[in-house]
Amino acid sequence: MMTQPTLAELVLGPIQFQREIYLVLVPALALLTIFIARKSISGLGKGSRLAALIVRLLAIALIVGALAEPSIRDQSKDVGVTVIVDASRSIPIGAQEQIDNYIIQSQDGSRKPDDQLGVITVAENAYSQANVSRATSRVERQFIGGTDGTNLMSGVSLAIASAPESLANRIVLISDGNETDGSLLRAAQAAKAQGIPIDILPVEFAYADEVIVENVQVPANARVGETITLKVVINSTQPAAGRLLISQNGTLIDINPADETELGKIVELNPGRNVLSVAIEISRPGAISYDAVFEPLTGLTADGNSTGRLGDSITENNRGTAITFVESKGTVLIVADDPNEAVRFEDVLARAKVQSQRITSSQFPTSLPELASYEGVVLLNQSAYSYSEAQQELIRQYVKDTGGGLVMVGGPESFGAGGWIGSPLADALPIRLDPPQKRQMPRGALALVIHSVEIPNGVYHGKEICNAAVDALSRLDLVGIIEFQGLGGTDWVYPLSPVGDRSAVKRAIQNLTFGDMPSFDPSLQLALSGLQNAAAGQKHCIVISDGDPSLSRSLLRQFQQSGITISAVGVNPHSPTDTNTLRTMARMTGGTYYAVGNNALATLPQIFIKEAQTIRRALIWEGEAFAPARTGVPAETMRGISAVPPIEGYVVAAEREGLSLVTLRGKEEDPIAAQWQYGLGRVVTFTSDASTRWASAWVAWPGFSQFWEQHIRWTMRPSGDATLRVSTENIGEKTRVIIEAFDPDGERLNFADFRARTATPDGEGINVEVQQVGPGRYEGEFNSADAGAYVVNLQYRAPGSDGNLIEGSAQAAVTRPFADEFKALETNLPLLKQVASITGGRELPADPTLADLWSRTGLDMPVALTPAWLLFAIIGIGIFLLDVAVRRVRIDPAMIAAFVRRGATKETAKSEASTEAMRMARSRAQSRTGDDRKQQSSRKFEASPERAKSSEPVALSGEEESDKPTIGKPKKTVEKPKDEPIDSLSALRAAKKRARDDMNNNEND
Amino acid sequence: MMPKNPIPQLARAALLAITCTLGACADKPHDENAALKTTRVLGETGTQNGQFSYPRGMDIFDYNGSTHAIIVDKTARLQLMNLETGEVVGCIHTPKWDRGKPTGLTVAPSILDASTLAVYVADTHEFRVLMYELPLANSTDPQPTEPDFQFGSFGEEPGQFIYPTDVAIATNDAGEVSEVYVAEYGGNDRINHFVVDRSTEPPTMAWKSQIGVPGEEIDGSDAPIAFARPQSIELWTNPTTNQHEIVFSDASHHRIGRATLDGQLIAWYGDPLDTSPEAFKFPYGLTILEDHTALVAEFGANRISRIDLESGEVLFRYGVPGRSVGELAQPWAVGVDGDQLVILDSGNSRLQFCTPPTSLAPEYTHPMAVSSGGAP
Repeated sequence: MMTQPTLAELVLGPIQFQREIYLVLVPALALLTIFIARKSISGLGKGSRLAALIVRLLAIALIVGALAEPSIRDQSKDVGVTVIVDASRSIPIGAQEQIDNYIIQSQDGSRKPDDQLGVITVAENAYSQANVSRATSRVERQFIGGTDGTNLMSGVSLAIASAPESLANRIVLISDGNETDGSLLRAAQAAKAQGIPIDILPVEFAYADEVIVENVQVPANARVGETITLKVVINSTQPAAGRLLISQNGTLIDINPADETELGKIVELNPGRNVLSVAIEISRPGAISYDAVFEPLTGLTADGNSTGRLGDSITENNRGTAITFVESKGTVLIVADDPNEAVRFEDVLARAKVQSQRITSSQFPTSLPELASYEGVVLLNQSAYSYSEAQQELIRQYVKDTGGGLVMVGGPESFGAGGWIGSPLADALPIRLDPPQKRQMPRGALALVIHSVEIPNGVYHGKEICNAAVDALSRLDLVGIIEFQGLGGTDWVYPLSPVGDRSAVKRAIQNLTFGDMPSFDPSLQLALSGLQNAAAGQKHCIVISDGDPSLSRSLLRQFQQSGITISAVGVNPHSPTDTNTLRTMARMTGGTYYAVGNNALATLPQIFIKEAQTIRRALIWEGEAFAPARTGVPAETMRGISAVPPIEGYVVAAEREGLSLVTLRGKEEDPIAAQWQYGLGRVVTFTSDASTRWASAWVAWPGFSQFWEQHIRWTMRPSGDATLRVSTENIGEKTRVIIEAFDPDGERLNFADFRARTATPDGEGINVEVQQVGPGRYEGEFNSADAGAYVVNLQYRAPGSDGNLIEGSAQAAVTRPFADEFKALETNLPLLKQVASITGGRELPADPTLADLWSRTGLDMPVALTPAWLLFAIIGIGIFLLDVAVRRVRIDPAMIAAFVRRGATKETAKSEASTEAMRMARSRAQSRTGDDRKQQSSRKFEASPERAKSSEPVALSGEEESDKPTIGKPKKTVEKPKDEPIDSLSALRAAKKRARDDMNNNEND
Repeated sequence: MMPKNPIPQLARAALLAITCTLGACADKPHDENAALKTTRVLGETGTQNGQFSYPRGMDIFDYNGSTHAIIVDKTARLQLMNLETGEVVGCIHTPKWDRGKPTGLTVAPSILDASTLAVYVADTHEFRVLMYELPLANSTDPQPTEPDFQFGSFGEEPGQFIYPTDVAIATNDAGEVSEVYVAEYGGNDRINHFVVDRSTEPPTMAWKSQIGVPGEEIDGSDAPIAFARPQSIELWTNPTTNQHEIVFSDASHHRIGRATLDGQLIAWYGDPLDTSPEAFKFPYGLTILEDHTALVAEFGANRISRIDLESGEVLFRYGVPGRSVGELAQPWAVGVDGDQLVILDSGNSRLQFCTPPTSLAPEYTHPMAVSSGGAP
């Protein structure tokens, strides 16, 4: 583990203590030991006493040291450099080559043999191109993702995350410093916290000839027939010429009526900021999006010849967009793929004098401003897979934040049977699309067989697909996932079990590895047996693969016999054979084959929703006709309707708790018609249909028009009688909404109460406080820092001049352009320098040979800590034993030497004699002291000075009998007066006293 | 930051010491599930020289007086490594890899020049076989390189390939390459037998026959030799019968087979329906040794098995799954360097050198059938 010592850690040479507080015990215990030792080992000789004391202190120091959790420090000497290369399109291609050469050349002289290099590229996203390694020696560019943006923060974050702990790390950021997403400064703070300096190598460039469309401005709302002024703000570095083209909702409009051959306007730009104005007459209601494009042309000389100079280097930044809302009186959008169904609703609305527009699902609006221009939307038998997830979210936001109305009418492709379960729109509906808990429903079982997705970001897309499929299933359905996991073989990574709240299966999806299976057989075999045993009606298997694993046809026949269908999704198959394998799989079992290339990844989740739908048929009830029961709930929508005709089918759903009202009920109390207010808008659901399929009696019913008109009108956003002129103004990261309100007589409308809400690009809504600032003038402000479209919905109530209440609503749209990769014309050097300064990094010189990339300066070299407490403890305990031995066993080098000199034989005889002598001595001693164990043991701790000075091995107790001459004073024997009572303590005291006296005598000598 | 395992109590130290002592004294029997005794690791994950990105083909051979390995990975790079020094001495890209990358490598004499060694690349997803004569160009930034010789095209006709997996080379008495065997899968699961036609310049490959048919039934009962992904092939002369044989790994049927060169089955070792832990699990790599045993890299079981080629008896199973040194992740190939087992640990993007449970003989070399291992 690599770490830096902190204040709470103590470093002594190569040892670091983690709990150094214990070390205070060392001096404390040392003093205590010395104090005790003055008496306890006073019986030893001077040298032995010192040795015993040192040994004892050492043992204490080591054992206390072990408690202080020592670790051995190993400081790294190597440096790892992660180069982050800005690979976005704003960096000229020539500069990319220079960057590669710079890194190669900078290694000479700077890089030591064990230093490491890693490479990360960054554009819209960051990708690691080479791990930090000794082997890496050059910049690589494999998959770099989209290059139309720069997220330097993601690059730095990735570099920090992948910096090896065992090295001192540096980051080298090679960029123009122009970011379109993320915050490099925030990442720099994170790098600083990790102690990783960011060195910068600014890529410097400047475009001599460049034209940029800075923005396009139109009024926020307008009326049909009005002429508005569209302003295009263009910045140019040099005088330039070009053609200005304006398109309205994607179609070019003629802004140059004088010239029949030219739709655009030829304009000449001066250096600096140019504002071009174009007058446009509004001819249709709704949201209108205007695109302005500047096409550079070669300049002309005074005599009309071409200068050959284009005046623009990057054309990607020559475009701008703005939206205006054109008031419409109550237009309802009817979405139906079967015209017969739509016609009935068109008739109903025409009779009610409500304007309507019919489209198919493929024509459904893709932007919120466009959708918000309708007062209501009617979806007839629409399935979720006809809508992208973004469009589904759009409908939800349209209702919640812009107050639009939604009427969702059923059919076999709708609601739960249409894959709407789990969709963003499901939240907005007054019914729950999962069947009721208590309801016994035939359920579906889906087995997902996952193979590797060998495309960039394949794992991410694969997980999205699985999530989409699981989302489209109902709570009761069974789902299981099989995958080839390299080390564990093929198995259920999520066993076939009820979907439930989806959390467990989604966790399993997050853990998928998308292993490259050699054969389909083990996976399909598992899926087959799992599905065969599953208690479900519809059984289906989805295989996602590139098609190259081997496949046994006999297995497919078993699927066929069991009535289990397989749909195969071929992601980038390697060859026609792979495609055939997958096609065969689908064809033989009655499933569908989908071919998906690299470019069609976004469609994959939709495929799975559609696939999941095949097992969702179980949610449809069809049977003998019955008339839905009218509930007693009073509702504006059911005014004057006491009974409705019979229906023959509907999609089963569950009642929603809360404020939803069920007005018609079917079998087992299933909701047929339900309604509620969702955010600012209102939603009605009708789970049967409005065609002869399920509601043939309705079509002929006289109340058909009344029923549907009342329901649609109830949901529609009120348009109101007042006239509001709304304009918006962007001030920094905020947008100000300015409203001029007039009553139906054209007088300024005062004291209006505004309820305003803005739908923001992140899908959330924010309330806007609107206050009156002058006669008929109101203002509000909201935060609009994120790029994208904002739709402001204004609902008002005001007292009219005649005492009537004036109420209604209006919308306005604001676009905040996305940060443009090509907006900046020069290197953002200040930002880069700030990053270097925050992190303690350097600005690298342009000459690579002078750039010391692997410089050690300013780096804290990391330290590896190996815990050593066990070592300390073992040595400490060993020394503790030695401490005992020192005081109890004397090892005399001189004697050992003598022993060696005399030879073993002689010595053995002597030793035996000595042992015999000792035995006799002990027996004599025992006869003197009696067999008193206490007395003996008490004496064990006494060492007589004579023994200490003896050159012979000594007995631990008792008197030694030896014929060898002694050195020093004649020894004294331990003798007790025979008449004295024997008491261990008194014996000990007496022995110690004698020992002290002897020692004093010796010292005096 | 605190190191791991802070001391709880001194008692733990004492217990640990006793445990260690007792543990060290225990008698350790041979454990089939034990980690490899790895002595050396070469390579790491990456795309620069000396690094691998899921290597899937390897052959070990003597070259310029020392042992070398040629390795191909999922970046479609061929790296020639000196196994003694670990140095990369040659590195090129195959010409094309959009559809997929090669999986099989065999070093043998060049078709164009019998005195030159060449590497034959089963360019799996380009439906062809490439041949590069050694040495290979060496660059830290390898470039797509056209081969010195190539053959094969996509199709199901005789001589065409879907996904070629491995090549085996036979030479004539003059040492020239005379016959080429190519295994393939993807619907064509079979072994193609080509004869080198030297009447043309350069020589061409004349299709002669095929061994095995694609397996329709999982039990393999539809033909004596019914393949499901023959991944590895080797030529061998049986010392008992003195007959030339072809040995193959039938990976998705989880078995190893032997046949005569005219396609008569001699034996299958392993059963497609056997799911016991002892059964082969996706045997991908196959290397025959001089002592008539063979090493099998089991992709699906994350281990190396050694079998007696004549009886099929399993002599050892070696390896456990994992990411640490001593563990294997989806090994695709195996070879021998001296007394060391060299395993292409594909899932971990490295070569592991380890001491085998029993001593190894050198890789098999034969004058007639020169295949993986050994210079001619």
